[in-house]
Order: sequence, then C-alpha cells, then structure tokens
Amino acid sequence: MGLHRVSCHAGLVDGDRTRLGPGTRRIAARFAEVVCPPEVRAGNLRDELLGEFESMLPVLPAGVRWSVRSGLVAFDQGARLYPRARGRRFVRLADDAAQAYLRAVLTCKRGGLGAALQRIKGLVVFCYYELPEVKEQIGYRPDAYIAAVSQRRLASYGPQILAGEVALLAPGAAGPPDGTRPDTGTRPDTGRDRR
Amino acid sequence: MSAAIPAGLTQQSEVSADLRVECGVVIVGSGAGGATMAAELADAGVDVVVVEEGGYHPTESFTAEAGRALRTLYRDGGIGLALGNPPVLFSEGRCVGGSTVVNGGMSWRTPGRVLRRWAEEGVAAISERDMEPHFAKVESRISVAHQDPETIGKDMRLLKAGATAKNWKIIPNLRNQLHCAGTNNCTNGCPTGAKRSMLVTNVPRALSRGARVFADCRVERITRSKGTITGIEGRFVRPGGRRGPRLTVRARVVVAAGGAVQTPALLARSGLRSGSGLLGRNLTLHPNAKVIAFFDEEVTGWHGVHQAYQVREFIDDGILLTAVNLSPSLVALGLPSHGRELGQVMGEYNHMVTAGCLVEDRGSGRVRNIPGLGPQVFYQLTDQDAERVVRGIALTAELMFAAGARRILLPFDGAPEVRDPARLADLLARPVPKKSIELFTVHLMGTARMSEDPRRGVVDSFGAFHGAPGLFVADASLFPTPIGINPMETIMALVVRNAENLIEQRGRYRI
Repeated sequence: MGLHRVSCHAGLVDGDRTRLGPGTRRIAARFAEVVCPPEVRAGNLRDELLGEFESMLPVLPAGVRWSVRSGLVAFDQGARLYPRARGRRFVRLADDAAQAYLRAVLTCKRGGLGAALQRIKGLVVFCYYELPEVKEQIGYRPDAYIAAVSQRRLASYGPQILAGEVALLAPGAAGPPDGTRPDTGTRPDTGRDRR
Repeated sequence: MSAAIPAGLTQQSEVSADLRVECGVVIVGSGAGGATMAAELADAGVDVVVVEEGGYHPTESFTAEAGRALRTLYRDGGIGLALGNPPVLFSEGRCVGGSTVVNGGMSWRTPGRVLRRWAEEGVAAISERDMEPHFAKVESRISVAHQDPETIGKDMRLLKAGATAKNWKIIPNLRNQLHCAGTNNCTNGCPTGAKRSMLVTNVPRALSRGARVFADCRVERITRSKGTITGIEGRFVRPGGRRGPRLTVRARVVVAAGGAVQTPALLARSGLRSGSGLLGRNLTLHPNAKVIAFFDEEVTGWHGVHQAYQVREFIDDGILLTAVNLSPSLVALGLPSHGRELGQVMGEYNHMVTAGCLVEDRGSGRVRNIPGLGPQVFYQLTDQDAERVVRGIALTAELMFAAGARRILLPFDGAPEVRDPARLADLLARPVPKKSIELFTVHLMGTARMSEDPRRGVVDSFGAFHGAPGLFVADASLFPTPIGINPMETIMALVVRNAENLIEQRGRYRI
C-alpha cells in the first residue's frame, strides 16, 4: 500500500545499478544497435551504453521500470508475428529485417506497444548521447567551457561575489548588497508594460 | 566532490537507529517554499527542523552529465507523467534545495492581473502593494537581476533577432544569480553557485541560525492527536531505496512544502480532508511544447546562459515564448528518428536552437494516491488550451524562421519537418490532434489552493489549512490559478508573507 511505501529510488547513490538479466540484456543490446547510430558498434560503446542504461533504471518509477523490461521482451517475442522475421525473435534478425520490424512497431498506433517502444527508444538513445565519446563526436565539450567561463567569472567579479556570499549570512540582512548584483538599477517587474 | 557537510545537516549515512526530535516547526521539503519558510522562521528565533526526501549535493558535485543529474537531483529520474490526452511529461527536483537547484533561474514577480484574480478568488492581503515588500526581500535574498552581457549566447541572440524581425516584444530575463558565468548547466545544478538556489541561500541561512535539516528522509505522514497537529513520521532512505531508521519529529506546527504533487499526497495519506473537496484538485501546469530549429551557422547553444530573454508579445493571450538549450541526450530522447537518421540529425547538434512556448492553462487536473504506486497525476488539456499550444508552436516556428532557421522539427507525432513559413502555415491550417502533441512541464500548481472561504479553498490566505490548526502549506500548491510565468519568486514571496503572519501568531502556536 502506498501509505508506507518507500520509493525504491529515493536516497540513491549515483553508481547504483539495476542489473538486467542476461536475456533482457541481450535484447537491450540488440535494441541499442538498431535504434542508435551505427557508431554504437564501435569499440565498447554498446557495453558502456548498457551500463548507463542500467544505472538509469533504478531511479525510474516502478511502473516505468516494469514497462521497460516487459516492453523489451514483448518487442523481442513479437517479432515472431512479423512476416519478414519468419518466426524468429528480434535478437535473431538481420539488420535490415530488424530495422523494418522496429519501424513497423514504432508507427503502429494500435495496442500501445508503439508508444511504449518510443519511450524505451528515447531512454536508450538518451544513454547513448550521455557517453563521453559520443558527446565528443558531435562537438559537445561542456567541461572545458564551464571551466573557462567559471574562471572568467571569478576574475571579473571576485570581490562582488565574495561580498554577496558574506552578506547572505549577515545578521538582519535580507541578502547581498545592491552593489554586488548586476545592473541593479533596473527595477524588477513582470515585463508586461515595457516594449 | 569533497565539500564539507554543513553543521546542522544530517544525511542518512549518519543515522544508524531510530531518531526522535522535538522542535517548534517542522517543514517538509527544502525547495523554494520550504527553505524560505525555514530561513524566515529561524531568523525570528523559531526552533526549525526541515525534512527533505532527496540527498544533499553541494555545488562542487555538479557536472554537465545530464544522466547523473537526473539520477541524483530529480524525482523519478525526471520522468513524471501526468496521465491524460495527451499525457504531459513533468519533472520535479528532489534534493536539498528542491527544484530551485535544477530550474532555469527565472525570477519574476506575480503579474498584477493574477494577484487581482486571486483577490477575487477570496485571498486577502494579496494586492501588488501588499506583496511589494515581500518581492523586494526575495529579490535581495536571491540576487535577482539581469544577466551580465558577456554571458549571453548565440541561441539567445538568434531568439532576439527573430523577435526583432517580427517586431515582437522581447525582454531580458530577470534571474536569481550573482554574476552568473553562463555555464548553461542550470538544469544539472549550477557548478559555480552563481544561481542563487535554496541550496546556496536560504538553506545555509537557516542552518546558520540554528535550523536542523534531515536529508534522505521521506515523510510518510503528518501526525495528529485528538485533532491537534503533533508532528511528522518519516523514514530515512538507504542507498538502493532500502528503508532506513525512523525519524519522528514532535512539533506544534507542520509546514508541508513538497510541491504541488507531493504536498496534497502527503496530506491525503495523513487522513486530512478539505471541506472544499479541493485537496489534490485544481492542478494546473503551464503546458510547454518545443521546436528544434536548424541553422546554417554554428550556434553552439551550450555557450551562454540557459535563458536570457522571453518573448512577451502574446502574454495577454497566455502564451510565452523562449529558447532553452538542452543537452544532446535530452534532445535525442525526444526525437522521432533512430539509427543512422538519428545520427545525422544529432550531427547537427551545434547548429540547433531549441525554442518553445509555455501556455497559461485553463484546464485542470488532480493528484491522487494510488495504492502501490503512490501519488499519480491526472490532467486533461482542454481543446482551447490545445489550440493555444498549437498557436504557440506556430509562433515559435515563425520566429525561428525569421531568425534564419532553414528547417524546423515540430512537436507533433508524425509531423514532417518544415522548411519554410508557407509550409508551416499549410501544415497547421489543418487540425492537430490533441493526442499527437508532445507536452512537458516543470510548473505544477494549485492543488491546495488559497481562499478565505473554506468552501473555495484548502488553506486560508496565509497558507493555514482550513480545519487543522497548526498545519500550513508553503509551495506552489497554494496558487488559486496559474500565473503564466515562472513561479519561483511567487512561491517565495507568498512564503515570506505567510511566515511573517505565522511569526505574529507565535503565542497562539507556542513556537
């Protein structure tokens, strides 16, 4: 009963994982090969992706976790009903047939499997684009940028920032003095009356 | 990450046995409402305990990894779903500092027209003049100001260029920031501490004045004895979600500040009922939808502040436009393509601008506790709101074309990409099925609405629960109606006002 239910993901320490069983992991791996760009097969990207996927699972609501697992299994077994699969499971399909089957399910408006699969696909590609090598490939390098602008901030406004931090805890003060805030001459408003 | 744990803050790892604590006021939640209430009461010398379900994650721990942020700073990995047609994805923060740790840092006063409407809904002392000192105090506390110009990135300059070309009103955002560096990492936690979230403002202020904060602790219920509020009972949560020791807090006043989903759920599972029948109802959520616009030139939208401008041309119609850069993983999550095609689209990541609209909704929803599942959100988008979302998307796309976009992806299931305004108009001239619209929100409001009249509100004008003396609400649940803009400053100003009122009644509550 929800009354005393403790959310299974509260208090999570980053690094916790929900290990997929070998069967589901195999489906997830093949699914990742089909939904992600072809580069996922290079190096050990696929295994890294699965690691990221397993670390996301424990934080999801229980119902979503269940639908991810059961959706993958249903998608795998459902391939047997797809004419081009000739009775084989998804994990046993060649690339062309696997792509065609995926497209057929994703565009299917009946039964809910298409919508569920779209969400699973979203989660898998999310994990793919979280991998450092993939971010690098598309030119997304936030760490260096963050380090540079953080340094610029301190160099440009160090004394004002320090004054603001001190004022925050000062007795009686509401917060940082006006001089520490950018362009405080502007009266905050709702922006409704100015063009 | 090696930052010291602040004095007065207790994490689950430090608790090995059941704990019993006494105080004057116990506050459930440490976001915009809870932390502000804690700071105000602690300033006045009240003995305050804050209980937060999420963990303590200091500024030094924040990185640009969206996955890590979703796992540690958000409830349910950032994937909440309001069931309805269409379903609406939503995100809530869950960490010390609450959603202010992961929001975009926009800080706007409640529009006067909204305050006037609230007065008509039976809320006392809510005029612009009444609220002025509270807004001013909040703005000073969290350093509300415009961005330093060097932090404004190209995606924002394109938004401004598009609005200027259309001759639409665009204004610089007011943000709670102390010389923001423009890291574009707001939603993963500000890595410099420049965003003045509760984590770096009201939580440390409250701690410095003797408040105690218990992190990693889920409040299971509010306790009462013979109709009198007596405190709360909760459980620390161990890694992996295992149940830890109990926390029992005895207090004369309980403040529920868990947000518009968790607060009504907590009150309901504690057996509290509102005579109005409105507890958990009246949910509004500012539905958002986004387009992805592709430019020939490199945009590198992750260079520069998260949001520098808002287009206010259509605010009287309840439509707000802006641009928000998303991490590659979040962009990919929402794209319809897969495989090689997905790779091609994402290969242009640095040429994208993600822009969208927010609609001040007129529909409503509710929060219910579902046995075995916990709080569940239901929301029905009205036909009128759906039309406004489609209009907002059309306007956003027009603006992006005016800024030089060469093609645009729309948030409608199965919609083709559009390459010119004429094709856009043609496409949107036909009805867009409601169920095909992909909606998202981070603004949930209204589930314990204020009114002096117990038949029209769950709490009175100052957040006191009708019929349960000693119980207060202090979050966006209070809003009688949606406000059409970012809600953080409204929550904080209401709570400053309500805290002042509570302090005036210290004798009554013996706190």
